[in-house]
Amino acid sequence: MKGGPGLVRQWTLFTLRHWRRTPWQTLLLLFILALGVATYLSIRLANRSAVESFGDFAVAVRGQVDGSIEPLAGNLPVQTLREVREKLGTKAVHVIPVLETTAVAQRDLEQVEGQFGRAPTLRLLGLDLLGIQNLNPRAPDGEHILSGPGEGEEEGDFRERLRGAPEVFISGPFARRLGKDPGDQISLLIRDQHHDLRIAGILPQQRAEVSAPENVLVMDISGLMRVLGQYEFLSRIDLVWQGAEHLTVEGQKRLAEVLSGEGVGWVYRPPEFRENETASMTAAFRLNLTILSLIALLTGVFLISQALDAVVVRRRLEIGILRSLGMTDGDLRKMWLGEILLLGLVGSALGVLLGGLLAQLTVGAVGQTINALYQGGGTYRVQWTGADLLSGFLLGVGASLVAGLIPLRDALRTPAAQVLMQGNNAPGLALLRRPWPGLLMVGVGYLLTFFPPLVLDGGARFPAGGYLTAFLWLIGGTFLIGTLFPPLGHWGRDLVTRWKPVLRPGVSRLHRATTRHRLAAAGLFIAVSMAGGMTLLVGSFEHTVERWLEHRFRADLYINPLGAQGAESDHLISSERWRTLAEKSAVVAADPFRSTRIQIEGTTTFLTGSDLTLLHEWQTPLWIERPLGEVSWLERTSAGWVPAIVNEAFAERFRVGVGDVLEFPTQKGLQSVVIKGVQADYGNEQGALLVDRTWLFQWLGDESLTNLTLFLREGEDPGILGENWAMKFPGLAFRSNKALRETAKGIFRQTFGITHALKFIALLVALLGLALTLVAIFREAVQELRILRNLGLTSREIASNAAIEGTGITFVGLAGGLLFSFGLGWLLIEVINKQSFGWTLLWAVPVWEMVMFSVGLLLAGILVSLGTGFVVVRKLLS
Amino acid sequence: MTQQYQNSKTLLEVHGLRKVFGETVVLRGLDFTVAKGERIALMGPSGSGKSTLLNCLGGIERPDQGEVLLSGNELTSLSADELACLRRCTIGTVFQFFHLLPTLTVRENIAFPMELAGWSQAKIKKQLGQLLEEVKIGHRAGAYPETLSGGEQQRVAVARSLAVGPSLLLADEPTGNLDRKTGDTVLNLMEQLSEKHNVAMVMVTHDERSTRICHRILRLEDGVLAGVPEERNEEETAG
Repeated sequence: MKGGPGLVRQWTLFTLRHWRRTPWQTLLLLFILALGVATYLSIRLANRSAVESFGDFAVAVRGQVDGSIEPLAGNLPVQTLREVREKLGTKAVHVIPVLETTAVAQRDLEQVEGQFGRAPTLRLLGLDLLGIQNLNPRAPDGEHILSGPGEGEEEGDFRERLRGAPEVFISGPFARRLGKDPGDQISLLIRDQHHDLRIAGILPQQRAEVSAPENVLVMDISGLMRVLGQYEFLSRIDLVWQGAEHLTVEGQKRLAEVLSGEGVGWVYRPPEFRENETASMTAAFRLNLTILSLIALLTGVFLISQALDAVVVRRRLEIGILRSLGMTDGDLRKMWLGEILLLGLVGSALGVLLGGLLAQLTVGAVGQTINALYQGGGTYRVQWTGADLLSGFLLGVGASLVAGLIPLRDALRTPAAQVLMQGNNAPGLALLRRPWPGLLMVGVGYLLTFFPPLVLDGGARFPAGGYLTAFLWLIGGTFLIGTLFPPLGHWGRDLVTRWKPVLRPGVSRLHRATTRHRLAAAGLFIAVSMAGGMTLLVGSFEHTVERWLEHRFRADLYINPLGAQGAESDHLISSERWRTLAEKSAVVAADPFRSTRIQIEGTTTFLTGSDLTLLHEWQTPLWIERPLGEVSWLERTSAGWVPAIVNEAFAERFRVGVGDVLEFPTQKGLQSVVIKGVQADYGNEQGALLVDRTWLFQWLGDESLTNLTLFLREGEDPGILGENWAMKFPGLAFRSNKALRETAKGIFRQTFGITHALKFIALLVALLGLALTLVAIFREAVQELRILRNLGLTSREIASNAAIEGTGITFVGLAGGLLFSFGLGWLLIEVINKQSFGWTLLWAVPVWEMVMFSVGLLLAGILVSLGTGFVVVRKLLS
Repeated sequence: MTQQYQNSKTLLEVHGLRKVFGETVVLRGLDFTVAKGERIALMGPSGSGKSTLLNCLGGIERPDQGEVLLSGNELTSLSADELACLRRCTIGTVFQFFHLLPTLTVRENIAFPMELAGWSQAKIKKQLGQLLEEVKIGHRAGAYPETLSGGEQQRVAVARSLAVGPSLLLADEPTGNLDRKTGDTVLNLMEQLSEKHNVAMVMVTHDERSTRICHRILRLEDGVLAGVPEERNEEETAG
């Protein structure tokens, strides 16, 4: 049979004209779809941007490297340069020493009034500037990014200049932000000291292949060594193949073979290692955000489904006429799918645009959170790829098609115009009226919680079973909540009969809720369950962290370098300074803490050192597994192992517990530790292995600290002491116990900022969907509404009847959602969180927050219902 | 004139047609035929089964017993798609409430069945021009249905029903929603076009005056045809 009008003709004749006739409903529908796509896309873009920004910014300065030599823990001794050169023999490889640290601009610190985690962290790179001028540049235009000797400047003069007062190259945007030009002075906080440096030049911002990120500063390595007062260590050594092209993968393998060996305190890393490492470190965090954004989209799918169903209702007569004119099921299916396709394409296009805008906002939040949690990063920029556009489109069109299935079924069941009657023609989805599919999904979901997490590259774990359970529970719940309608209708009928009998028709319709009522409640149910579950997770997390802070932080004064704006920035307190402070007469005890990255089983984790004797005397660790008996932390065991404590995340990640022995390489050779205890630690999810600081200092060959904790004599005021000492040690931040807790809570709130935004988006989308569904429900009930008018009800009373239906739907969605949110909360806390981060969280129900949230949503639902009721009823009955 | 149709070739044959909804028997074994170009009025009180019979003739409802043959094709043996195809090419329908597609202009509403039937644009254009002229609505060809009067809408509906040259026109109270004068105009138009294009017509109506354009009247009571179908002489038919 010939197929009638083609797709474009059909869009022109029907779809676009309907859109023009009902512009607001169409815009709302497109907006819901666009918002779903935008949420997903913005999170995707922000995630990638955050990871890529960590990427190889040094590449921007040096050109592409062919690998790096990195320390197994801490820093590389300078003599490694010689060792590497010897290992390479006559191989044509440039060996480039790199010293890298973080810095903070004094002006940025002043602007954020010294608040931890607020000022942008700068990456300060020390390179052999004269040496890299000799490299074969690989940028397409053949220029070095860093200018070497200036115009009229001989190489000898340039060498002299580098030997003079240390200078710094900064990026264009950074220079503009600070209003600085070459030749000006810039005040930087590097590690624990202030330095005023002359700006030598501006790093080119935009190159054909790479651009210098805004937060990168470059110095000559000798200048940076002088600034740091550190001449014995390097951060890493970069290797550049002397050929015109990059080293092949095979070449890199050979290089790795040459450079590997027993007993060396360093390791060869291929070029992509750093980016992969960052990607894997933040994988769980990013994955969680993505899942959240997808759940927001799932809510969107439900609402698009409702909205499309509303379209079917509005156009039922048209469908009936088309059937009378001889359109077959196939023709109608093609027509409907064509319409959904157009909706998907336009909605996705809008979503992609909106996603770009949202990403600009989200990227800052994601970036700041990753900075605070994982490592000092910097500024983030959203960059698009074809894959982003494609994924946005595919997701939008796919979601529309899935959402269109139930309305399509409804459309296909529409009879010819001859037998089409006014009134409720929705055939309904009988399945939605049966609770057993829901019960089955909830049951299968529960079984899936027992599945172990998937281990991603780099050691991050993905709780696939947990997320699948969340999906099944959310979908299963949509089948179950419909059972709330009959009792609600029954109870409501009794209530209104006594209170306001004029509302009885509306309540009676709730008692016999249609598929449409159930779908509307389902959209709200998903949004409320998700939001409620997240609220429980965040509330429990906050409660647990507070309790942990009470246990863990009992000292009076906490000191760290002022420039340390991220938990893992490279700012250290020099040995000389911390010893001076620890020996002050006001101090009764000091706990020096040092943290450094190490690789265990190819996975990045942290090796930390603290005064463990003091830890047990003065502070109370929150033990998950206590040490058995007394432990002498400063002595090796009889088997020669160093006693250690691991945190819960470490124990989960490496599947170890008390009594297990671990081996890992350091610069001072292979070390063996035995685990004596497992403690709760909500400070990091990558795991931390804690030994007494004396061991760590030995293994690193360096006694600098990440932070210092002081216990003061009785009667000493930490606030006054801190202020006095801050004057004497301007590079250090002194915070009292209370201030530190506030900082920790600030980071905590920052971490969950995006979660709150996603919750809000899901609820907004759900309320918009409610409005759309109510339009469909009222439109379909037009005959009943007319009867009410004929019976003498005023427009206001008819609208109130309509509103009571909307309120009932909101109530069912809310009640079901709240009930399920406890299930989801349990899933998030006990399964997803445990599998992802390995943290034990204590249950806490933020009652007030949940009550306010419920009341707020119910009120919003009533307002939406009233508004929709008044507008639609007036229009339908006019 | 009646004799002429009795002798001409039969278009529609209905044998023992029975239709039941739940426990209610709506049609109780109807037998009648309609010749090519013949116009029949179907009358009867509300609930007598007129609309159900019309739907069975159009392939919208499937009879529970009996057969309906249109140009020799047994409708009950056709699939849903084949029935749709039959409606698309062989049967035209006129409704009481016009049922024009609201997003389509007059021109597009009339052309749409031709597009569905896969006609070429040239052929559609030619037929469209002719139909617009015949129903005298050319001056509103670009207008949307909501801007037309009831009479104009029904004229468009008549043109649409005849667009693909059907052999049978089913009309369900075509003047039921029009004033008397406009109704007369529409009836005249239907008669004229039926005559010109040799289209048979089965028209459900409550209005005795509307039967003036019909050759025969079938009266349906409680699902059965009451007595012998009334035959009309030429004067009566001419009104």
